[in-house]
Amino acid sequence: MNEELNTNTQAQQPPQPVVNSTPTAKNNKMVYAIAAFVLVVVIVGAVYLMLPKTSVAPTTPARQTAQPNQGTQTTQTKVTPSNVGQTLQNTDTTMQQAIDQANSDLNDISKINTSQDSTSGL
Amino acid sequence: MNKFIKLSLLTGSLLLLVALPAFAQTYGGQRLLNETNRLQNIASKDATVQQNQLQNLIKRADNLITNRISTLNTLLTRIQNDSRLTASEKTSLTSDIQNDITGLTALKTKIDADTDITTARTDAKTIITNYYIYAIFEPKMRLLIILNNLQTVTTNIQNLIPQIQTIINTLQSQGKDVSQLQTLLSDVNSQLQTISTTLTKDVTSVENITASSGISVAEQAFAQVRQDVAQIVRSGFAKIRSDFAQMRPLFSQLIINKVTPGPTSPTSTGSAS
Repeated sequence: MNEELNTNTQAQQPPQPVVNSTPTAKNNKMVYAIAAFVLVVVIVGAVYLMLPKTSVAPTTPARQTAQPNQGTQTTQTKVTPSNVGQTLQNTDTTMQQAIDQANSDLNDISKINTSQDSTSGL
Repeated sequence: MNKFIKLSLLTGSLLLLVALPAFAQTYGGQRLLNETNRLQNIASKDATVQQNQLQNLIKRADNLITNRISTLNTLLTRIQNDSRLTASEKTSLTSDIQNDITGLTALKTKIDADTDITTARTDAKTIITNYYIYAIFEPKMRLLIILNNLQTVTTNIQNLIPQIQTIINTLQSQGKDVSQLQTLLSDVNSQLQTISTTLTKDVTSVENITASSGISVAEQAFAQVRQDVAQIVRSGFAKIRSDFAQMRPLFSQLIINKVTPGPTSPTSTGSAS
């Protein structure tokens, strides 16, 4: 019986480990290394994408007809304590010009002879 | 005697029998011919009259179109020479005008080729009804020019507000009394907000008006916008200018006067005796 046990034990004994590294073992190590590298890269990339991005808030008010004010003829200089008085003066002049132009345009509108758009007589 | 009378009667009857058909043929045919000629003359005159009417209508339609295209070209010049409209605004307005010029030019070609007065009259009426250049389109374009100009000025002033506020904050940090300046600037900002909102509303209102809107609807909308513009110009802008006029000397005083209020520094010289 002991012999049977010994036989069974011998039969169930795991194979002795190979001392020298075989190509299969080398390949497994390489695969594990590559997999670990890829995993690290994926994790780093995911963290980067999940970082909050800074957004730029619009500073100019929205306009109905076109893109935000751009391409106007007057170039605006930065307002400083040294030029704030002159800036306000220039702004006042600009406003006066705009008022004059608006009044002139309103006058042109009042002169339009809308009766020309009558179909009578045709 | 009886024989003579009988013979005379017979002869006369025979003569009548012979002459009557010939007489009838000659006189009736001539009448028919005359009637035919008369009718032909009438038809010819009618055709001439209709042709003249057609040509007159075409000529009148051409004049209507020419006048309208001239008005539209004047609008184009006004837009191109404007110094406050943005490039995109100029493009948008110019495009609308060019579309009408193109349409009217094509309509002129069609009318010039019309051969019957009914068609020509129908086409001529579309010069008015498809475009309403004077009742709707020109006022619309001119109002948009005004509104866009005022929006530009308003936006430029709004861009100054944060910078002026920064200066006020700086002066305040230096211990200077900026309460008046702050009140004035807040009022300017409030006026600008109201003006900007009104202008945006009016631009939408005007842009929604088309030739198919109807003259009465267009006139009502345009009247409201003109009223708003007058209010902005006479009240809103006037208030802003008044505020700026008050702010200028205040800034001058606060910025030039760099000595902060408080105890004199130990290094200041004072008379010993």
